[in-house]
Amino acid sequence: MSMQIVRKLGRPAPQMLRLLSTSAARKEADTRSALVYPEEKNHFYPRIGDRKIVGYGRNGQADYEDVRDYPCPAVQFQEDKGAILALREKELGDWSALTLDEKKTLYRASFCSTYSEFTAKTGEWKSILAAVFTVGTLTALFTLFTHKYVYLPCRTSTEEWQADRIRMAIAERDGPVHGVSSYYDFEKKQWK
Amino acid sequence: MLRSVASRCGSLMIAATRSRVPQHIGATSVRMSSHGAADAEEFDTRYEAYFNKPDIDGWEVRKAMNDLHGMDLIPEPKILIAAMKACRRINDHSLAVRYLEAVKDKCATEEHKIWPFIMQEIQPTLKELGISSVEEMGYDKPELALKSVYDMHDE
Repeated sequence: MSMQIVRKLGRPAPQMLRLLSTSAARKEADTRSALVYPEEKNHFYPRIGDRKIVGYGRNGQADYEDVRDYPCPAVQFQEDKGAILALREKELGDWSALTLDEKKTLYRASFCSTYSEFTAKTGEWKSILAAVFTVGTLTALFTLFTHKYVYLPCRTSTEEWQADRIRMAIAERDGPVHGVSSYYDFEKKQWK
Repeated sequence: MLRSVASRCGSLMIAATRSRVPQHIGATSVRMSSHGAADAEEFDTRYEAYFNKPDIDGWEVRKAMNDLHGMDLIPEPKILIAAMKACRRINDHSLAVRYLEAVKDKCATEEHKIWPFIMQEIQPTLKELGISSVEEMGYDKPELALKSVYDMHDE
């Protein structure tokens, strides 16, 4: 977090480490290099290997990230070796001379996924909905089982229990204005 | 030289975030002022000039693209043309395609209205520089699939 890749332009250095090919033509024409100082080398390069740092990226760390909000990652995705190196040489010339396959190879050398690929819908919502329904169904089945085979019948729903409850309410004078007792005539000891 | 580059970058990055949804292509105003259109013009010219710097390098192009992409606007075709030419100067075809993809993605729900217009405006430049469009590369649809790390078990 404290180490960030910085532009060190115009600052003389006793020792400069440039991550480029050794081809002379590339040294002249290539304007994509980032200077990295030896003290930072051990911070970044064990993680990124021989891949070239090409920019600031999302946050100044030398990471490759496919993010919608940051089209240009800090690091090229693949190392400039072998066939890719040859294509980079060809890229210095006229781009109409590049075939579609070569352009695609170059793209994949710099980037991992295209925008369509990493913004594509995953269909994850189906898995999530399926999980939700499964849990709901299991809960419902368990509920039905327990209600039928585990719980005792509800004792408060019998006529006797309810009649007894009303008798107690009258005795306690519950709800004298708007409630039960308001329907009972206490002088005549009967329902109104 | 670093200071001039830094101050230039600084002046470009004065723009605060704006909460307005872009109602049209191009820059919405950078500062709160009564002259909205004039500020948009100035913004466009600044970014075009930035990309048109003859000795621009990869770092600066990428930084400007990332910053521009983070703003609440779709860049004017003239800024895109300057960006394409900048990619040519730094010899990076893939970056040009990447940025076009990014702008297409930025159009979001209005893509069917905005993208054909943008393509129409920048097509001559793409032809001239030999840059394949997103559709020509075949990148308007996914090409390869990447296995999600969450689906990797015991590997």
